[in-house]
Amino acid sequence: MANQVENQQNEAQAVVNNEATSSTKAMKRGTIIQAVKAIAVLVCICLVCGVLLALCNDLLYVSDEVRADRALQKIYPNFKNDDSFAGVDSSKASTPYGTVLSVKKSTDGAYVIEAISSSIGFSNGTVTVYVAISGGQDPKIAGWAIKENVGQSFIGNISASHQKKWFIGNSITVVNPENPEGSGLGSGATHTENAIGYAINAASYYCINVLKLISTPESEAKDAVTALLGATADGYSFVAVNDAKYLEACKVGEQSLSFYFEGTKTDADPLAAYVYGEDESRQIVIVKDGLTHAQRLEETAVVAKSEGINEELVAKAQSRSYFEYQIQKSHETFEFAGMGELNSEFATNGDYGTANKVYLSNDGAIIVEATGKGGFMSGTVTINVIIAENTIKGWSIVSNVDQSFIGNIKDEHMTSWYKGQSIDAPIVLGNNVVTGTTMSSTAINNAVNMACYYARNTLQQGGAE
Amino acid sequence: MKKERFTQIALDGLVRQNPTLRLVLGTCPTLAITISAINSFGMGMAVLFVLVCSNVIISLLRNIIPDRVRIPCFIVIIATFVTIVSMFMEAFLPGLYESLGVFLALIVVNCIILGRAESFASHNPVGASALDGLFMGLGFTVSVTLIAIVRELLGSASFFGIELWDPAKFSIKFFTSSAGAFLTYGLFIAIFNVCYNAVDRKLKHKHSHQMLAPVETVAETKEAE
Repeated sequence: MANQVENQQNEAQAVVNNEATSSTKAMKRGTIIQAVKAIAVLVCICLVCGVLLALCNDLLYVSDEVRADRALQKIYPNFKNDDSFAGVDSSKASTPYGTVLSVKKSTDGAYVIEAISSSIGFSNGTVTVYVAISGGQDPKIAGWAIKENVGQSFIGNISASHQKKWFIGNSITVVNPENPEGSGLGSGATHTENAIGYAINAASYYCINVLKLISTPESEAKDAVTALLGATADGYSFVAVNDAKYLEACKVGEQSLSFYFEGTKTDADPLAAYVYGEDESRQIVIVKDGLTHAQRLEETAVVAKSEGINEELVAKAQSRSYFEYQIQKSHETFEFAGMGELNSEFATNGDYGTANKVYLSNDGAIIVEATGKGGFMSGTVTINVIIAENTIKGWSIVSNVDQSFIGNIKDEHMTSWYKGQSIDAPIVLGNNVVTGTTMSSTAINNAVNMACYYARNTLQQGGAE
Repeated sequence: MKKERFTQIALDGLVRQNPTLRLVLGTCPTLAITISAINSFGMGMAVLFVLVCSNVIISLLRNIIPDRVRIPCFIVIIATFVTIVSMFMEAFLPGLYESLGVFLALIVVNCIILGRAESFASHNPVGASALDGLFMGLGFTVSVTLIAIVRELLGSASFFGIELWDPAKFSIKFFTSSAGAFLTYGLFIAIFNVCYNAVDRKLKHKHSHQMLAPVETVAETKEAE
């Protein structure tokens, strides 16, 4: 009896268990169906929304060209792209201040130029700017904005208000020669300001020399030089050397030298173009540069000359190169006799810097081009040091890296500092320093010591070569 | 739709449940974009468009969307319309598009829109939802534009971008700052609520007076009998 009751209870329990299991299964099935339905609805909504967005994107898409035009309108509000304009002439895009990357012309005659500065900024970095230049007879800088930069930690100092104030309204003729670096604008980021100034001047330079927005005596003279050279001018970059004393030194009778251009081209001989007079009376002599004094005097050194040119002008152009003129300021008897062979054994000194080149003079003097370290911002100064009879005759600056205040060092310093000092002992800085350019002066002193070190050791070995 | 229902939705959106001044929703864009009346009006229009469209679609799909995935569905729908507004503004109103910046994209997570979708559109028919979106959007637009007008006048001496006087002579730069935004917004909320409560009390008093009147008449009639 007891067994029967137990069996019945077990059977009843089994039935309950079976029902519970089937109910749980049904619930699970229902949950899965609901989950699948939820996911399906969500996916369907996503798909429909995706299709709607695709259609809208097709209708409302803003092209890159339109975006670019809008960006340019921020700098020059009236900008409307003139599609007929060809754009940048890449063969002439490189300027002494930087490189022009793109040029767009507006239908009202204005130009918006994208230009990158040369590596003049902080830590040899660059700044790329857009510059708007108005059209008309007196083109002016209508606006500019920074596009990007390389390594300019303090670019944040240049605010939007600076970009609405600096350079705006300046004629491109004023910006170019008188404010090449844009320094002293007062943001506290001097190097970056320099780079911005360079980029803006690159744009101005392109406007003057390539777009011919304005005609200056310099650009006209340069055009005349290019025209005289014809096809030979291709690839050459001519830069005017604004050295009034040299222009005066090249005077022939009453005929003064109006412009002197240095022409350079990769893998080609440098040229020197002498332009006498203006307009109808303009006479031009173009000679090969980088030659010895004797080679220059030969007829073959003349590359081109104006028809019916005064032969005295040709002789003058041949007789005295700008390089010779600079050295002759300190050592009058210098005549370039050729390059000396650099002795690599003494070309580097850890304390001073490096010796790069050696020039020889017909009178026995040697000129050592040396780079001195220890300048401002760990920069360098490269100078030519004239050495004759174991003494320093003078020196002249060739180039520098990061020396913002090198302009304070004038011709009189180059002809007086170190003059007559023996090369046998190390040269001390002493009074050979200009207040405010101590670091640059130190770099110059190191360069002088480097040149002396090189000359001393090579002469002991039996010759400067 | 009955006239009473229409009036109720309109009054809710514009006054009784004004999203900016009564519910204090969408505070972040309100504080950020009310520096300029044009920006505020543009933002208001964008919110209005998204509100109306998302309310209509959510109301249409209210019986299809499972409860478990309603929020993701609402977000997808709202984000779609925000993207459409964003594309439209970039194409035709680039200045406004740049001025509004990230706040345009942030409409997706604006409490007003998600709130109306959740509390109204998912429970009401299409017509009512569309009207709710319209009036809520108008309530937001009017509020932010009024706040912006005050800030722009005092801070920049201009009205919808038109300079009214030289700001150098008189302008309070404080009102263009974040602190100025908080102060102006707070003052607007205070003034609006004081006025709202006063009108509300007056209306309630009037209503209760009307309710009492018939009772007295009945009593007087009984006494007379």
